[in-house]
Parts: sequence; structure tokens; C-alpha cells
Amino acid sequence: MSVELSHEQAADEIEAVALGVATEEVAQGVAAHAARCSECAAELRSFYHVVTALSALIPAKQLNRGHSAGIKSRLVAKTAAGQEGGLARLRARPEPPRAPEVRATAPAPRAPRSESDVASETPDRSGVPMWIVAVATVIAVGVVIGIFLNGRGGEPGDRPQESGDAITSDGRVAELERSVAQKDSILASVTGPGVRIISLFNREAREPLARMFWDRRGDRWTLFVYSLRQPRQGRTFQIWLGTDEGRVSLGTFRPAADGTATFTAQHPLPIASLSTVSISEEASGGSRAPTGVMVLAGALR
Amino acid sequence: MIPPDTLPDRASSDDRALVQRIADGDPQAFSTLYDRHSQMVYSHALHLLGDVAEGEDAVEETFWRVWRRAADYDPAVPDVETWLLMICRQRATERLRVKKRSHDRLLEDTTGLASGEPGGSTSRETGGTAASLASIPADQRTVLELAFFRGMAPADVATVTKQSPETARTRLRVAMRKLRDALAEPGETAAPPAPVTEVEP
Repeated sequence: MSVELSHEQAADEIEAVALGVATEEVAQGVAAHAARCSECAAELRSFYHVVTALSALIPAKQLNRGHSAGIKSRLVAKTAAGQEGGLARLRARPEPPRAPEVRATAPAPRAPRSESDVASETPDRSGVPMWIVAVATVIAVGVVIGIFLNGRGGEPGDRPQESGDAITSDGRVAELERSVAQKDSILASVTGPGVRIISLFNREAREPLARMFWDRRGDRWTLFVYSLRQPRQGRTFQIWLGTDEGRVSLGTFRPAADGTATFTAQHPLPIASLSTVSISEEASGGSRAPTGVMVLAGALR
Repeated sequence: MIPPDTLPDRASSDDRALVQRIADGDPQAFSTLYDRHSQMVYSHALHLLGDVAEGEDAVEETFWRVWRRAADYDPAVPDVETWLLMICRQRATERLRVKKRSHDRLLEDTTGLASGEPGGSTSRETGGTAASLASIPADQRTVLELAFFRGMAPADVATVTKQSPETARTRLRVAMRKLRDALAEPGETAAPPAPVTEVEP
């Protein structure tokens, strides 16, 4: 919202606006006035170079790389949310399930276990949190890739000589860089200050079989599944967020052969709205509402 | 005339193309712009806010605003970096206002400002800016430095420096114009001069 400014009022505020110390309302008021006053517009523009020159006097500070990745991740997620629409729009979709976004991770191997058809919502009673293993694995993978990239950059003799190889190599580097960025993004989503963790159990399990990390600042959801059987033929697993207004689908996934999976999604949700997270087995492609058996579930405590 | 070091170059042209793509909703362009300028924005935000977490929040706010307001980019702004700076400064000073930092602390922070705010670079360009700044009379320069380096509005500057708001505002205007003219090429004036009569406190 801007305020209506007279020429004199706008002229009085031009320096403050150029220096970015005017209130937003005043800044918008001056901008609106300058749009129709060439004198004020010229005066305002003449100060841009002063701001640029002064800014060069401010010492450069290094933004922590991991934090930067987290900020970028949240921003990109928000842009995606803006493009995809908010919660209401998601609920209104005739086809709520999203495309599967599954990447197998390699947490500590576990013996496959069978699951009951209905999950319990028992609290976390595990002695050794498996999510720590999963997060550590993510970090390890990122570090290994980072070391590989650094090593490659530091050994000119190892670089491909042929242009074809270079193209291939560049593509691989780009792919690895994307992978590192992805890992950074996941790390940010599970380690941020506002992250809530929901452990998911089945009826028999004493240890959680999955954990959902809810990064409320970026509306990002990251699910680590540690041990889950394969869905039956023609079926898939679907993640549900239990809210005040019913269950909302977050997407579908299939675990890797060893029963592990990592699922990420971006979905805005008011903090007070979430009560449970659950996973059901549904027909391939997912369902609008849960129809199959609940294999895992957990409550927000 | 535009100072030589701020003439539009290929990078700024690329930046403008990125902003145009962002206005069209291109997240890849947004990502590229973030990678290119987030450090600069952070340096600025941290300098103003003095707190790493707040500086990072200001970076996020700045770029989120870029995403939402890219269509409002004014081509008259010499480069995208300056535009980002202005957004960043506005977000940071808004935070300062919200926090209502004590004026006493700000006053303590002004120590040494009369001799010029310390900069991180000693390049010819920044040396020229520092010299131009130093050439401005102390009472006017202090107002400008408090506004730019501390993110203080003229009214806050007036409180801190114990002068009337009108005087602070006038001194800021005089200082800005003197610096603008000093930074312009010799013999040229960046904008038509307008008479300013300084108001006594």
C-alpha cells in the first residue's frame, strides 16, 4: 500500500528512498509520484549511482554455503508453490497424487519385516534413531561427491583432453553439481531450526519405520523410509497428511529393493492444522482419498 | 554522465535478461540470479543488521521480493545489482525499525564515522568514493553515513545526532548531491542542480 504524496512531500523523501531508509509505504508513494513527475524521477535516478558507489565500501562477507543452499532451496520451493497454487488449490485437484519422486538411499541394512494392515500411532520408543543414520548417509554422500568434484578440479592432468570426453565430463559434473545441490537442499530441510519430526510406525514395530521431516519455513516435506515391503502388484504407497479438514495427499512412492526410500515434496500447511502423517497402499497412480490399508502412521506430538 | 565503472556491461545485460525471465515466472533464471548475487546481498544485509541469522533472513526476503516484483524492475536503474541493493536495504531497514534498536547503541556505533565508514576494499574505484565522501563537510557526511551504513531514517538520524529532523533531512540531501556530483566525471553534473538551503538546528 502506498501513500499519496504531493510533489513537495515526494521531493523531501527522494534521498531516503534512494538510500533505502524510507518506509515501504513512502517508497511506493515516491515511486508512484516519480512515475508522473519527470523532475523527481530524474532526481531519484541520479542517486542510484551514489548508492552503487557507496555499496562498494561495504566489506564482503561470506554467506555460509550450507545456509545459502537452504535459503535457495526454500525460495525455489516457494516459487514452485506459487506456480502450483496453495493448499486450497491442491485440495481442489481432481488428481491429488503427485508424480513419484523417489530416490533410494542407503541407510543401514535392515531385515525386511512384515507389516500389519493397520498402523498404530505409537510414540518414538527407539533407542537408536534411524533418522540419524539416514541424515548421516545423506551428508556422507554429499561429502563424497564434493570431494570428487574438488579432486577433479585440482588435478588438471586428469581432465579429459578430447572435446567429446569434455562434453561428457561437463555433463557429468553438472549432474553431480545438481546432486550436491539436491543433497544440500535435503540437509537444509531436515536440519533447520523450524523442522518438526514425525515418526511413523506400524502396529507391531517398536522402532519407527519411517520419519517425516517437516520444514515449516519452506513448507518442505522430506520422508525417509527405512524398511518397507514392496507394494503389491498394481499398487503403490501414498502419503497422507491428516489435517483438520481431512487427509491431504502428499504424493506416491515405491521403496527401493532394500526397503528404503527418500521422498521430498513441497506443500504449505498451517502449523496448527497437521495432526497425523500416514502411508497407505493404493492403486497405482494414487487415490483422491485413502482407500487401502494403512501401513504406517505417526502423530505430531 | 554515468561513471565508467557502472556502465552497463554484458553481465548487467545478462542480469536484466534474468530479471525479465523471472518476471515471466522462470525459476531457473531466479536460481541463477540468486547464485550470482546472494553473497553481495548478504554482505550488505549483514553490515546493516549486524547479525548473521538476520542477514540471512534479509537475503531470503530480498530474493523473495525479487521473485514477486520482478515485473516492477525499473530499466532506469543502472544495473540489477543496484536494484537488489535497494530492495535489500529496504528489507533490512524495515527489520531495524521493527527491532527498534536502541539509539544509544547506534550512537555508539557512529564512533569513527566522521573519518569515513571503513570499507573492505581499497580499489581505485572505492578509494575514489571514499575520497569523495571524505570531501563532504563532517556534519553532512555523518548524516549520510548514518543513513547508508546504519540504515537509519532521517528522523532517527536527527534523534541520534540531536538535530532537528528538517536539518537532518536537508543535510542528507546536500550530502547526497555533493557525493553524486563528486562521483560524476569532472565538468559534468549528474542531474540539474537544485538549490538547497540548509536549515539551522
